[in-house]
Amino acid sequence: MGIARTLISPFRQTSGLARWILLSGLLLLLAFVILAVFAPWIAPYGFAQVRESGEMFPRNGPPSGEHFLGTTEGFYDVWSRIVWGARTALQVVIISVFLSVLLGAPLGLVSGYLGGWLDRILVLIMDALYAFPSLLLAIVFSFLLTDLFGGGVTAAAVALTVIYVPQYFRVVRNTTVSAREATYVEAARAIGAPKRTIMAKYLFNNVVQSVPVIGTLNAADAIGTLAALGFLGLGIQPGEAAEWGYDLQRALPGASAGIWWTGVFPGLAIVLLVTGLTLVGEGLNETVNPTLRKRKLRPFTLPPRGAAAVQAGKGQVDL
Amino acid sequence: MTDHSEPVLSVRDLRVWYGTDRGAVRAVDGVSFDLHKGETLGLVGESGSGKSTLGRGLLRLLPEGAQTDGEILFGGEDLQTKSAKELRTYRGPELGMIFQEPMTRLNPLMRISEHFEEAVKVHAAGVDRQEVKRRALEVLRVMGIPPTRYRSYPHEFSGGMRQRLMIALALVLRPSFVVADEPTTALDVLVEAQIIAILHDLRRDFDTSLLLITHNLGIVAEACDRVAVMYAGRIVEIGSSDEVFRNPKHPYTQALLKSTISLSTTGLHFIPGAPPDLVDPPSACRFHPRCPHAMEICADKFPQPVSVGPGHRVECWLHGPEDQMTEGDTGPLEKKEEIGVADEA
Amino acid sequence: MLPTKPEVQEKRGASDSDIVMSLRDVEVHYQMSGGTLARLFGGETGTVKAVDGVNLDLHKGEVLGLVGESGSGKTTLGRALLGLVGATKGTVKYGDHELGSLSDNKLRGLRKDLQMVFQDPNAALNPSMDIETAVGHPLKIHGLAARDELRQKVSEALERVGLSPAERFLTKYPSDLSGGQKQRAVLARAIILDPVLLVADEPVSALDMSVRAKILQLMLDLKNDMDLTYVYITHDLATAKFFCDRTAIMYLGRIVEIGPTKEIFADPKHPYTKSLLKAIPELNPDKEIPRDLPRGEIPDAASPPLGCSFHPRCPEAVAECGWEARDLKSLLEEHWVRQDSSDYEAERDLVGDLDRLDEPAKRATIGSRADADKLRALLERVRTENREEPLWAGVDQINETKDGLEVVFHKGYDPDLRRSGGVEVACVLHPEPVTAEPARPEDAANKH
Repeated sequence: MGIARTLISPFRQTSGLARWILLSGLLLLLAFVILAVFAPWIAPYGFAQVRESGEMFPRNGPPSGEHFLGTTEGFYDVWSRIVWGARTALQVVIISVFLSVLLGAPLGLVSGYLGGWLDRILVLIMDALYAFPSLLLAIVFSFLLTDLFGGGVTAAAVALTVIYVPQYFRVVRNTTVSAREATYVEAARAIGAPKRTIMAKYLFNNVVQSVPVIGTLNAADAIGTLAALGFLGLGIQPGEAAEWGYDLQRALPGASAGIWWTGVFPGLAIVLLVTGLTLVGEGLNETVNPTLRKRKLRPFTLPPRGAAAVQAGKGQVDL
Repeated sequence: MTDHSEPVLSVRDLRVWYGTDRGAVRAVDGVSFDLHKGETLGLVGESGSGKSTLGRGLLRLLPEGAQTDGEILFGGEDLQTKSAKELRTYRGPELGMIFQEPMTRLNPLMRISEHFEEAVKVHAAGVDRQEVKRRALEVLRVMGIPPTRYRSYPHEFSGGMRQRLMIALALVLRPSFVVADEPTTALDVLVEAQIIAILHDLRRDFDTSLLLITHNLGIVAEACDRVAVMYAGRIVEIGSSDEVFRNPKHPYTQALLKSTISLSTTGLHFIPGAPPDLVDPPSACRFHPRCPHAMEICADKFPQPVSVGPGHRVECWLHGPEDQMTEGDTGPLEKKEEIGVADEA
Repeated sequence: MLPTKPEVQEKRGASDSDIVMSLRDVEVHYQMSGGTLARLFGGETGTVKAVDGVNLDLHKGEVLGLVGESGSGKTTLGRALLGLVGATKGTVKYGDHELGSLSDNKLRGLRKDLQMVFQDPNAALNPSMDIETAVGHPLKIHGLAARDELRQKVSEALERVGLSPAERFLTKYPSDLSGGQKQRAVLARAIILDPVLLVADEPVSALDMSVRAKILQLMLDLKNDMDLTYVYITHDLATAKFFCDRTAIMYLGRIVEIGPTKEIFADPKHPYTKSLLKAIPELNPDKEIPRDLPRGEIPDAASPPLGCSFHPRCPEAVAECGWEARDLKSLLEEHWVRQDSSDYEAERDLVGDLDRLDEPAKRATIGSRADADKLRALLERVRTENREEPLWAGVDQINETKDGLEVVFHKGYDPDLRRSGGVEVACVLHPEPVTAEPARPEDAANKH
């Protein structure tokens, strides 16, 4: 199937630096995925747990045997917060990227292929959304959505979706507009394919190729935006799930008092996850974007001319 | 017609291989020929025969990862040993190239005059604008472009005019050797004929030796003094156009001529099978799996260049040399693999 | 009752019943969008007349060649035949259906009968669809087969076009096939619905010489086996001569000559057809490069020449062909190509603003009144340079006016197709030179 081809192609087509970028990004990402998936087993405590067997955790306790990344001023275990935070971050990112692709790509496809007034209206709306500073948009929407969905993962994910839909829409629409003129699309019309078949079977596969790249890069961006929302006290509420941005904000007052572990570790988690996603995105970009792609060449050396090989010319005949 | 003075260009055993993800492509694999002053040599072959790589290889315009050996003697100097910087001084005043798609080579934001100024200034720094204009208008006149268009932009020209411009730009410094790679393929029949006439007259107008790469045998027959037929990285036959078209010796040349559809075509003929994969070409003679006259030796030993007439050379065991063949060699090839319909191109 | 010639009647009867498709006065005009500014301010946007009044009947089982250069409208006409491009005027009738009046859905139903093969086999197949799906898709779309039956039919179609054994190709992607194999797959997709008409747009132009013959042979076999009717669109007269029963030569949106291929090639009538035939490079090293070919290139279809569209390039043009201001400009430019630069500069100053000669007009004014005598002398020099130049026959008067020297051109005609021998030709010279008022005088207002 075409999908399988697409999935393995990044590895077949990259080499050297591009492959290392992709690989190291994937490794980082994998680490966080493991943390997120196995959080209940990896994290020693719950994300909102402040005591065990009746005994309170220390407040702002430095790293120790019990709490090897220390505890926060809210009595939480830092390591557990990071592990559960990874789960929150990935949940939000996956949902928001999924939703924005689900909305943006088909809208872009339809808009680009059908054109006309529908196209104009959609482009106008999407451009308006795109023109807004993304953080501002996220703040506005998380205000609105907290009423609707509560302060959990869903609200944050939907707020982020609004930011990223226009990007998929624009990319898919523009590729569709140029692919619409391709001979194979005309050929599809010539065999009598209805519009929806042309879009689904002929255009879709050929215009979504850049979506994985935007997806991973957006995911990296979304981690940052989510943390920013949490830092501002918006988005995910502390009781709902662990969130690194919120932790960072809570760590601020202690920073001047030498309590570094409450800030450094969540910060590091954000940086590493964003880096991982960006690396994957860049690595994918090298394979998807033909202007960046370098063909993988098998090195060779010219074999010496053997007896069986060529002895053309050399004065035997009139050239 | 062939002038027996020192050739302008003398190629000896040139190989150009380039890497792909499947291994090395033997695009040019041991090519030798001479080109004399003011001579037009047609290089014909099907796509994938290596003719374009050969043309670019002669000017050392090679794809990344390409490796070459052999000699390209130009005015007594071997271009193969020149550095990139030295080569730049050759391109323009000595070597020129004309491409298939003129628009990709013209800067849409530059006037024609600016193109000429740039081309001239790189090699002759002291030349002033008036002198550039004088030289440019002279070349343009030969190309049939009116002087009123000297200040125009490339998009204001039609396809044929753009190709004339490209030729004019390649010739303004009067190089002694020019490679034209499918210069008329993108053009219509009538315009093609105009351009071919211009190329044919280069000898008269500029004393230029031309390597004309094309897949159109008719153009070669009409416009070239000599013709080289390329198959799978080798020149399998070379000779004067008169000789080769009237009396083709190589079975591939014969088949190619026969399969070409012209106004006098009354029946369809074709070459069985498809051109070989140059990553892994057939052993010995590359044409033997498709050759109707293949002999035992053809699958076994590389054919030698054999002279079959004045200036007419062919690489095919049918024409000898007999002293290198034994009795059993000339029997029809037994174990020739069947060419399935699916392998047809 | 008047006796009629039996053979004529017979022929008529036969030709009426075996007509597959008929086109009447078909025009395909495109509105040019113009520049951004023009659109913003509602400025003037032109019309490109890609197809400009074509009448054509396609007979069952024939191969009709549409031959012309790029910009001749042959490709657009081919698409109009299939309803892929709507005719802006005129009718395209297939059986009882008028393509222009059909809904999208009805038109899609007709696709079973009307199929197309494209020039570039590399672009005609969806790169992310395997051959089985691609070739079987027409059946699936029209709900004619599914599952095992579908696979069976796809295999049959593949075998039929020479992609055998079919199993080897079912799971392949276009990128795994050679150019010739892709074109075979495209043909398989086109014939799988058992169509009536196949429009083949340059089906072999993108292929190598030795592959062309194979594909053409395949098309001939398919036609005979399946009783197909072909429209073969090409710029290559050699393949058209071999392949087509009837040939229509197109120039700038019109058919300029149409008739049985044999007659057209044996005795070409239109000067354009003659030039095309002369221009084809032949495999004969004795043939010299043709030198007496039409100058210039196919003009802009947004602003075609007055009169006969071919007249500016025509080696046989006469006074009635529609000479106009732009022709004078070309002639002057051609003259300057031959001048050395100082003479050119002087003459260029004398003539003044050349943009005045850019409009289609029957009167052309050059220079200024003060220079009238010098201008006359210049025109005389140009005339003596080449007395054969047909433009001069089309000059009625040269007058001095307040703006300069005015050249008045002879009234021209835009020739319709007229029967001449076995063919129909659109040329003022055929069947006999136009002298009296012909049917369609050139109409400057209508033409731009």
